[in-house]
Amino acid sequence: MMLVGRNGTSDSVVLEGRVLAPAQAIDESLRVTVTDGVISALEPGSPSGVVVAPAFVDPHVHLRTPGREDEETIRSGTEAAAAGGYCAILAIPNTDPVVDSASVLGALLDRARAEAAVPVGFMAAISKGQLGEELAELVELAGVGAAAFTDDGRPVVSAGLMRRALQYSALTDLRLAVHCEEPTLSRGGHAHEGAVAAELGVGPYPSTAESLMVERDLALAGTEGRPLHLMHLSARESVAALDHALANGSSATAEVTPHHLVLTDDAVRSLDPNTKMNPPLRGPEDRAALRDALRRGAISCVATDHAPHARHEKDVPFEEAPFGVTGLETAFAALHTHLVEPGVLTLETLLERMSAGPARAFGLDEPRVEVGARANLVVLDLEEEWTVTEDGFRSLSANSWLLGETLRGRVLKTVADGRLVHET
Amino acid sequence: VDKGESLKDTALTLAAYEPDVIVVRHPSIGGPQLVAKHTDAHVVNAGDGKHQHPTQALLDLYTIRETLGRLDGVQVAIVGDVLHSRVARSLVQALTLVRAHALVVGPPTLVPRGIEALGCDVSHDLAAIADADVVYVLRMQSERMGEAFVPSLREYTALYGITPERVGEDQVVMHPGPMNRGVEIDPRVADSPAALVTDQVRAGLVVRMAVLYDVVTVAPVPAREHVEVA
Repeated sequence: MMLVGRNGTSDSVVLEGRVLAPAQAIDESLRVTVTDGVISALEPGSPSGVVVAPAFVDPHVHLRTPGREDEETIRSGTEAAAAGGYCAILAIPNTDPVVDSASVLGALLDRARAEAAVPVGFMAAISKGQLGEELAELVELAGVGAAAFTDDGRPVVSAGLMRRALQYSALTDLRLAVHCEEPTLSRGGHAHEGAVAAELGVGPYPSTAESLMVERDLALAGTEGRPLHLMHLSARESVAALDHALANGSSATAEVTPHHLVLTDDAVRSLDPNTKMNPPLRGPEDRAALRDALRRGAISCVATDHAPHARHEKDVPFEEAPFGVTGLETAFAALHTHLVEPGVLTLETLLERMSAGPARAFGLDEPRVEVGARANLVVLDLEEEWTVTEDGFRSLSANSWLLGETLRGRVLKTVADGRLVHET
Repeated sequence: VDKGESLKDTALTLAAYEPDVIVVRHPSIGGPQLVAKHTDAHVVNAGDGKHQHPTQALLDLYTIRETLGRLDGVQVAIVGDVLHSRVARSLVQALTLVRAHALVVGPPTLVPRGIEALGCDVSHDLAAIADADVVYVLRMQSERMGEAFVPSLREYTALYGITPERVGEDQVVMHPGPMNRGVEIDPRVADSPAALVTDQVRAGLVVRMAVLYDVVTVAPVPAREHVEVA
């Protein structure tokens, strides 16, 4: 597995504030000296009104390259990640062409070396063309540097193929990440099945469309003794299935998005296409179960599922709009505003689930605050208020569910792999 | 639209003529809202996807009041494919607003989960229509079989078809048209004095004239605001 970024110099900076590294049980005022990209000294410092924390890791980003460079490029997407406080991101292979061959993956790695502002890992497809019919050449893809395997954007419909993928991927040290959706249950669905969809007449997408696949894949991964990562969970039934598996010794990991943690399907009443995503926003009880699972650690990762879409493709009636919203530049501020400030989640837990949690799930080095470590740090102002606007993004797309909203908490600086990649 | 023009561009094109009112019927939910966003004209929703059909609901209320002389407390049983019906959604909301009562009746596959939140009762048994003042019959489309919503039109008609035996002496029968005679409504019912279908059509003319008159003259509807009459 390989994370690659722009080759270049390492930076030397001094960051001072309340250093908060929950995974290392650090919470004290320190001055962090970074020399040539490496943390060289930790000394007593002043709180300075800011928080210095291990930078974030996003295991679920659609960089839209190759194929839709009008929506996002490796450069714009990683600059958005830097602005969001991320020191590493994993890109999803549902591009055009799909990342299912060594040549496509190799070309992406080369391009990332030339233009990625923060290190990127590229996931490769589980099946050729993500068609769910034949396995991609998983061993060769792993050898070239795939970060993990996923058909995200689509489910692996065939249970037989999923089982073979779990078995065969044991030849690599990479895990499968799955988008759980039973297509015969979700077909025609654009919003969570419930009162809101019934009132609007929007095609219903029931929770069981997700949870049945979660149960299936947990069962298969369990019997094959293979790790599994569940992407963007949305339903309380899925959380229950995950809890059950974990209680029985499963090593599965799971992620949840900021939008599923903050919104419910009530937001869909606006018919704003930026409230349309897959899986859909669900009910208050689902949101409560997701928040609780994140707090407990059953869900160990916050993932943005950053899904850029061209403006004209989202400026259409709700049902015609594609699924997905952007999230890299707003994730921390949205969750700080909506979960930490109201007391739903502690700042420590949020920081852990945005950094060490996802790094651990994918076998990446955990960003740490310690002398001798490569610097992967974020500086946060928890008081600063800012308004999300369409022209405020580094991302090439602006399909954010937070447009017009004022958030509290801002990423002031990001150091990724020893380089100062973002400074306000 | 046939040439692939987006709804936004259609709206901008129409807005360039500076109309007072744009009447929108669109296959997608929220189409009229999108048009309203891009024009200063008053926008009347003439039906958007499976969402709303507000003027149909108004003309139905008008017809019921003309026939029964009241709306308050009237019991309306809406029978059939509620899931795919914008007429049903608007009518349930409209009935609630005028303190009438709605009961929706249909097979479990064609009544959306959560519809009770609109303020109606739900039954899957046609016998539940016995207490209704009005039996409101929805159009049943044959393509629903391919999607396994019902096994056959034959079985649907056997369970939910409105036949003369199933209509009480004091009940009136309504249908938004076009009717599938012999499917959701028996022709003997459709042609009986109890059927108000042609009254509904006549009501549609005056009610829609009134809507247009209101939006361009008396209604204090701010520009850029969706006209949700229901």
